[in-house]
Amino acid sequence: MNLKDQLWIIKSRLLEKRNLLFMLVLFFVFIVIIISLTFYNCIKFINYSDIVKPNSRNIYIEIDNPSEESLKQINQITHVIFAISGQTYQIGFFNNKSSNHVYITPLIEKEEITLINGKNLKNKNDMLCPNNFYPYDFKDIIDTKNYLKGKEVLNKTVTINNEVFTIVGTYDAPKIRNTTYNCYISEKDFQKLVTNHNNITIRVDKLENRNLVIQELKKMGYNNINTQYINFNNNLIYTGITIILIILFISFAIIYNFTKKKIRYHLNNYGILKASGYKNKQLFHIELLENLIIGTICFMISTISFIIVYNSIVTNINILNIAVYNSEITLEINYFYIFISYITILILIYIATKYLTHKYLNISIHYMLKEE
Amino acid sequence: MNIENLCKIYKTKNDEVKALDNVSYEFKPGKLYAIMGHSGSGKSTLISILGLIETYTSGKITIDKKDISKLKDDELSDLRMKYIGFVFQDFYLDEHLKAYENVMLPMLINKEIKKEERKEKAIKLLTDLGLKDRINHFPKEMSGGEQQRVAIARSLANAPEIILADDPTGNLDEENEKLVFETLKDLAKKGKCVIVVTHSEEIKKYADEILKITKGKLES
Repeated sequence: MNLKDQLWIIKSRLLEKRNLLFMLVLFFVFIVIIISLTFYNCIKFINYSDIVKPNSRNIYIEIDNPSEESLKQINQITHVIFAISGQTYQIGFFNNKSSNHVYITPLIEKEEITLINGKNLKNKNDMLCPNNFYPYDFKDIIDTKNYLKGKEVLNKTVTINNEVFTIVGTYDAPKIRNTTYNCYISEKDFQKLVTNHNNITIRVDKLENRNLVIQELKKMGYNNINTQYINFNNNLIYTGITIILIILFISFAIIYNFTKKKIRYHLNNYGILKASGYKNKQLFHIELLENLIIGTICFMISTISFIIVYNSIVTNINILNIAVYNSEITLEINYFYIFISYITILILIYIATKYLTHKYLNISIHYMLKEE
Repeated sequence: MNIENLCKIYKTKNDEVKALDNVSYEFKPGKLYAIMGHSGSGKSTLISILGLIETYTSGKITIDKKDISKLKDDELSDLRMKYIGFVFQDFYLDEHLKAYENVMLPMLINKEIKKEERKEKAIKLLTDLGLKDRINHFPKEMSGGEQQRVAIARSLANAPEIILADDPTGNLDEENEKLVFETLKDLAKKGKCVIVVTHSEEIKKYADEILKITKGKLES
């Protein structure tokens, strides 16, 4: 029995009342799953911010005028990406409109950033900015009048300590949880700007190697070592996972219940089909296909509805789109999670249908036909 | 179709009920058999077992020289498709499908019937049973007699050798009862082995053999 024949049987009964009710319930199941996964994604994004952002891998040593030799020695420590004199810092700048703040960081070759627009640093006084450039402090963040997006940022100039920097490219700041005003310049330009050489900034390759490098530094005799506090809450992630598991369990109970009612309702039909020579496997395929079609229709409707509603909310509430902990957070819909929720529901449908068809189609046809 | 020493025992918590007691018989093609008996005599159990839709406790059933006791579930399904057409008292038509679509249903699993031939075959079966005007009607739009004739057409979809009818006129008036019995008689005349379980005395006018079943025992 091919797929076309199975569809032929299903098409006539797809819109029966029982199925419409099933569709309605599945629609809400999908909405709840997508919403919870989206919020879980946001919680995860925020929770992991401190771990992902490059500055968390920084180690600062308070030392006056460090020598070139000491910097060279530190650079040779395993896991150190760079060690430079001076501290990455927030600095005032001017342009023809207003005076604001940017956070200046030297771009070392090994540093991983993803360019979105324009080109990488090449010439003197080139600068890279976040693709959504917002040169303000957190307290001003609701005011979006000077919030520049994408290509609008390119070729704008920023004057810092009488040096005019041109923005030649924009990078994906949310990916590495950089703030909306975290800009990169070349190491050479950075050294020109740094006037206070009372710090060494060291960046390590991985967060878990930070302590190893600190131990090495202590062995070398450095004492005033500072690092950034990492705020990571495992409980938040576990709570999110628990809530999702509870939702999945409830979803399975709903799917199981509706599939059971559907199969029992169709038991007479299946009985007559079995009496005509249909095999259990063929009837299982018919029931499964019907449920998968219902699931897919509901998934499409709920996803489209969710995207429309969600986008309208996110677009109208700017603060959501800008920052959490002063770091830009993308509240874009995670399509991977939506796809995962679809696959999960299909798996739940498969399990429920497989179990229930096995249970009900293996009883005697005689009794299947007597089922009211 | 041949049955030998067929027994069916229903077990309850505290008791055992013998629905069929050593029933043996040979059903031949081209004949209309009527199985009659009181309620609870075992006639419905017998026809369900003959139709391979109910299991039996002991004995032997052979269809076309095949011993069905050795067959697996899927093989029994194949046998039902190929050899047996079943007609029930309650018709069991799919209410979402038109008359010809109901008749097409069993054909979907028969590889010997080409896809493009299905509709044509279904229409021919319905026309032969006098339902030419009801081809595109849904079950709800037809009388009981018409629905039962659609069910008979459905049982003939895969051209089986054996037609089993379990009280096919139980829900019909006299006029429709006559029509259904005539239809079944015609099928027997065309070489099918037709076995009918019924309460109706009217069957005596049509049946070639009358079999009485009392307390699970068959008497010819």
